[in-house]
Amino acid sequence: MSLGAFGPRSLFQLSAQPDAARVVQHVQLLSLSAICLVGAGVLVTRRRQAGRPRRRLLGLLVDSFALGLVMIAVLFAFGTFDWPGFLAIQRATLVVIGISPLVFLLGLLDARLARSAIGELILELRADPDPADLRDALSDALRDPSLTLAYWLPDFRAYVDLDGQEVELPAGNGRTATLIERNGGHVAALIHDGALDDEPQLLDVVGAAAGISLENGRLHAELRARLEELKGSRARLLDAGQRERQNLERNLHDGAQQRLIALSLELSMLEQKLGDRPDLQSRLDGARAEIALTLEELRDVARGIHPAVLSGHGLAVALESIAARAPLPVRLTVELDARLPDRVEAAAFYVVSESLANIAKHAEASDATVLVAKTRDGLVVEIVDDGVGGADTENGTGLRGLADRVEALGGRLRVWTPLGGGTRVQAEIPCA
Amino acid sequence: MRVAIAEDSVLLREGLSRLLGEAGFDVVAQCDNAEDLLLKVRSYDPDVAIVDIRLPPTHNDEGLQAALDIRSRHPSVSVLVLSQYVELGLALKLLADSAEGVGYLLKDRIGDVEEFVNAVRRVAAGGSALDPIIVQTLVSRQRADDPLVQLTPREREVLELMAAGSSNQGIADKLVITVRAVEKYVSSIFGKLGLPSTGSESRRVLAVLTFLRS
Repeated sequence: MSLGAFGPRSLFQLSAQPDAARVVQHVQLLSLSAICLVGAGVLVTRRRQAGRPRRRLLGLLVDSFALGLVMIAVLFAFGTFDWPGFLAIQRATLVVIGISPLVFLLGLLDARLARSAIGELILELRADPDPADLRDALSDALRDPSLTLAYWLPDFRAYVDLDGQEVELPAGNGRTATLIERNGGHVAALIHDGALDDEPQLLDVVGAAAGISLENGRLHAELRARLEELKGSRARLLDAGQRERQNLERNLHDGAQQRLIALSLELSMLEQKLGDRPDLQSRLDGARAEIALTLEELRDVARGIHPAVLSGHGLAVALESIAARAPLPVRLTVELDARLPDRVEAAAFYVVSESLANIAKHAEASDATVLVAKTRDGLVVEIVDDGVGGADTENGTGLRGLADRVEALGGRLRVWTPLGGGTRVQAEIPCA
Repeated sequence: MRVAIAEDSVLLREGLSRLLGEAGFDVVAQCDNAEDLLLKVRSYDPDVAIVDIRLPPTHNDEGLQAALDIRSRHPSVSVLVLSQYVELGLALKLLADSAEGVGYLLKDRIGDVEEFVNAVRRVAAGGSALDPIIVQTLVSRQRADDPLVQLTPREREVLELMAAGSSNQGIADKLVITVRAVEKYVSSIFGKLGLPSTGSESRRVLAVLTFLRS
């Protein structure tokens, strides 16, 4: 490691200047050490960006090389500053550099292990795993915990997950999709870390092994997607019906009802002008009474079509009225601080009104309790009576219709009705 | 007496205005929406504002909101709310704090001109008018140990008229008895129901309502 210094007359002339030589040597060593560190840094950053499963063999080799570079840098630094422990560091560096071939061998072993993981996968697939477990099995075989599966549904022309929710295939972002085909048809896509692209054979083998299971998963996903679609159309139908009723009620209100009231007003002003004509007056009275009756009937019809007070003023106000009209004492508690979506309010309203009607008709109860409360996930509506229980939950009591309405909103209606133990109807309706 | 009217049906608005005009009221403002009403109440300072509960744009609760607004911002202006449906919950909302200068009637009542004009006059003067349907809903409401069974049929009648906002004179006229007799019935009712006697007639309405509601 002896290097010269510059001569006094020519840059290339050798001269004995030990101090200068030492400085130059130190600078050289430190620069080399810095270059080694930068090199190691670049390797580490690249490795980070590449994501988890890289070509394993190469990966391990690169790792040991980076470690070697760091060791060399440390060694140079120790040499330059004459720090103690130089010899120990030197030995360690030699060991690290010597280990590299071993690491390479380990890498080869790892590749064999990967192959045996495929063997395990095939065994697992033979046991016909649940579609929900398929992802885990594939993720183990590919050693990519971030793996997800997307199934191709030709009818929907979309990829979906196991629950039937649509999935976008990744574009860039370090993720790629490997499409799996079977019998000439598209079955699924494995969405995995981009680094796995370096191992196309592994992906092919795994894809081929999992073909039938993926086809099963695809059928499962298709069923779920159709179910979701059905649920959506059920809710839309309910909404459409509700809107239709609301419009009908509004038309009645703005049209016929207002005209009749104005007519009745006109008649009564005429009557006042008549003066002393008792015969005509009584006929006008009769006409007005007829109008009043018509208005009342119209109001009942309109209320049956759609409770206007509900959309106008909310659940609390609407329930107050039906509780007061019930033919038995009703304890009503409404814990809401804001309006809820229309369909949720309507469902809750019908659950309460229908349940109170049922209680009046069948329960022989002495009183009833109604509780409406907002929870974190939605609305809970509960109607409890102290009547005879044993309600018929399937035929004619309207409970089936209520359950349909609640379920169409993704909710649940439950009825407890032990003989002689009263009846409790509870609806949980999700709302954001 | 000065009246402002907010009603979106032209037919009804014109009818009301004519009816009240002929009855000797001074109709100072007519409009078809809540915003306009608030503006006109501020500018014309009427004695009473008659408000349709369903007003544009959404025909939901704009009218009620306007009524509540007027009650809190212009306490000197009485409010009479008209509606195609009368609902207990709305009455309770409207009369939450006081029954002074407030009314809530079914629109159909307009047809009975004399009754209606009386109600407008009563509300404009700071009294109250509550639709009989509300009162009946409350009175016939089922209770566990119904205290109303202690009342005689005549006392029940008086109670209902009282809850609807009638004055003693009004009750006397309607039942064709003397004011003295009405006073006797009232104190007997208050005694049986354990209600503290109240001074004004509108405070009496609130007391009876609160009692009937509980």
